[in-house]
Amino acid sequence: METDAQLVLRTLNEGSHYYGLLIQRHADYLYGLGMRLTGGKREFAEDISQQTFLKSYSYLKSFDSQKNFRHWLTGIAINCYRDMIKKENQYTPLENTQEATYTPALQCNRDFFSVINPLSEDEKVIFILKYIYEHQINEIADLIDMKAGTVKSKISRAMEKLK
Amino acid sequence: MNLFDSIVEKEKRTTYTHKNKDLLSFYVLTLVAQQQAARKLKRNLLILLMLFLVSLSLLLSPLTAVLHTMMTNLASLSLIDILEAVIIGYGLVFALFTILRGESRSGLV
Repeated sequence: METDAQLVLRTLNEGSHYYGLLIQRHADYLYGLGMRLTGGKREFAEDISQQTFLKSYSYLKSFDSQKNFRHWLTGIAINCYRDMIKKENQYTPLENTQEATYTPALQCNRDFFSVINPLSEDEKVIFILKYIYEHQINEIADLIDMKAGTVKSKISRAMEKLK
Repeated sequence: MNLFDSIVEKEKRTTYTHKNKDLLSFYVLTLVAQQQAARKLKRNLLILLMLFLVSLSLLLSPLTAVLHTMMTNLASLSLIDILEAVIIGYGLVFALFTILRGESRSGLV
């Protein structure tokens, strides 16, 4: 099986068909991340994954093949999430959300969504990356373009809120 | 393990599965193709506009005066002038070729 970096290279050299394989490979991950970030809002999660794949395609040339593709996608997904939050009020879904694109009886942990609900958007992102995806502080800082110290203080603030 | 930890642990074990990855892939690739086509069209229109403007300026310029100047200058042409013209010509072609190559690459991705 080809690695992500190889597929990126083939996409750049041979066309977008190979990008389809990357989409298939990471769709579940991005959808899950979107669900967690949005507190289980499927339409948002769906749009986050679509926008992330679209954006990542246009920035594909800048992808460093020495780095992890999923990690790179995570950074883009978080930016998409932040952009969507900003536009939330005038936000309209990209396509008909009534269409049964995803499993209707999707398994999700409502307790978790209600636990993280009091957190701010940044705190939510950091909390999820640290406690669900088990990223290191410096990795999170790199992903969300923040200083490691700021990330640490946001985590402790989030934990205080959750107590 | 307290309640909070158990909720986090449960969430870690939760998997979110896409029902139709093929549809997502198709949708994203269609949008990508649409964007590429729009970019290509914009570039072609720009080139067409430039060609139109150049032809228009040539047509509207006093042609006889231009021809007369050309003929009088041709008589006094030296080897250095020809070399200069060749270098400038090839330079322009090379620059145009590089720009178009760059454009076609950016059009791909």
